[in-house]
Amino acid sequence: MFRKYQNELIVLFSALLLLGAVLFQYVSYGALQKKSKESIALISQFEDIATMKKLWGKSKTRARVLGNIQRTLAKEKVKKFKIEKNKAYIILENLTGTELNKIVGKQFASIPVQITELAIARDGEKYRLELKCKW
Amino acid sequence: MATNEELLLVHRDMPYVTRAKRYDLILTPQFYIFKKESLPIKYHYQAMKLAPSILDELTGAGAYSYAVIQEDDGWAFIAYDMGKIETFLAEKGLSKNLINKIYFAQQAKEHFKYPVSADEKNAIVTVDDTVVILPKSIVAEEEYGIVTNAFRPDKGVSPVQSRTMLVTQQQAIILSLLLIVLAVGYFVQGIKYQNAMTHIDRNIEKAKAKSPEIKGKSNFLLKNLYESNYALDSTQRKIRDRLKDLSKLTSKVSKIDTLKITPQGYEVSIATNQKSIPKLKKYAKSKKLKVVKNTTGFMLKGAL
Repeated sequence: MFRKYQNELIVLFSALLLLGAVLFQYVSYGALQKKSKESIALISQFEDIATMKKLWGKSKTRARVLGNIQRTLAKEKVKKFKIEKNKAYIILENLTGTELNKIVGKQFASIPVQITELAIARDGEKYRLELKCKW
Repeated sequence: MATNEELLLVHRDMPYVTRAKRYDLILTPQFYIFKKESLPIKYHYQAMKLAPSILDELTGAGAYSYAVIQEDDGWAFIAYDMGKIETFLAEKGLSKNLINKIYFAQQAKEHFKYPVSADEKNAIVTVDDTVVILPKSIVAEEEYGIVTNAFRPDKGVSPVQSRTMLVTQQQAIILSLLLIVLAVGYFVQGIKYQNAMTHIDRNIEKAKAKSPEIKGKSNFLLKNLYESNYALDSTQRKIRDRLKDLSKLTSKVSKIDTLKITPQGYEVSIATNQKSIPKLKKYAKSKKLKVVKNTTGFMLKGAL
């Protein structure tokens, strides 16, 4: 049988070899394209993870920064300023509108702490601020 | 190339024989058409190309294969129908699959100078440099020779070569080489892509090694880590954006009554006058803040 069609079989075998090689090249190219895209995204994610962990993760400086804020406030306005490990519970009272804007907008919001709850309540012209955060 | 197979003389009245081993054939002129020409041809392949046209007048309908023999004074052109020969051999009990080489009696003309008996009535003999079958009555020999291995010519035809094929051996080789060269090219390219992937893997590992937070962690774990950190980052940024948006709702006439913001959402109540409400609503709409209908003031509530 082989001898009878040996020429055709040789050509067929070579064609199959070519087909296999083309498929191998095609599949490899597709896999490379996919991997290339994935790697770009992955490496970018690595950088993001590192940045985000640094930003929102555990830090020894957060407590110090919050402590600095506490020192700028009048004592009678600080009802509670409790910092425990990586958590803080702050209650400020009798704040004017300007003070409130400054404390919330320029101080607490600019510190990379995870705000779990921020509550404001007005009593006449004064405000009460309650902040729970962690890092 | 000489072989060690049994050499069988094939003629019309040969007896019924069976063979289990491969064998060579030497065909008598009964199975081929022969013409001798003195042509200025140097190479065998040139003669092969001319064979069909030279034998055209002698061959009738049929699938002929051709062979050429270089002789001292020219070229001997031979046409033979392999299909018919195989049919004949099958009738005589010989399997075509066991044929090793096919020779033509003309190739052994020197050996047939002494007549060889084909059957009871006929003998094979060389007359004027051409091997023919003649009645024994004309040959008039008392003793006849027999075909031995010494009759085997140097070159024979392979049954495969003799069969009509879609592609010739030369074409098959050229085509195969071309296909293989292409295949090698594609394969090498594929290998390059595979190597490039390995290189990418190494780059990923290098990138991991740069950061202690992700070093040694699997890609799956890092994906989860990214998603959780991304969600946290996104939520905290939204909280700050919402605080900024909400702070712009306040003015001399619009003051926050209560505000509560958590990662889940916001709830704000603003004391204001009726005149300011459309303006506040417009701003809230521009910032995609959800307004809650409230009879006493202006209230917003929604997810971040």
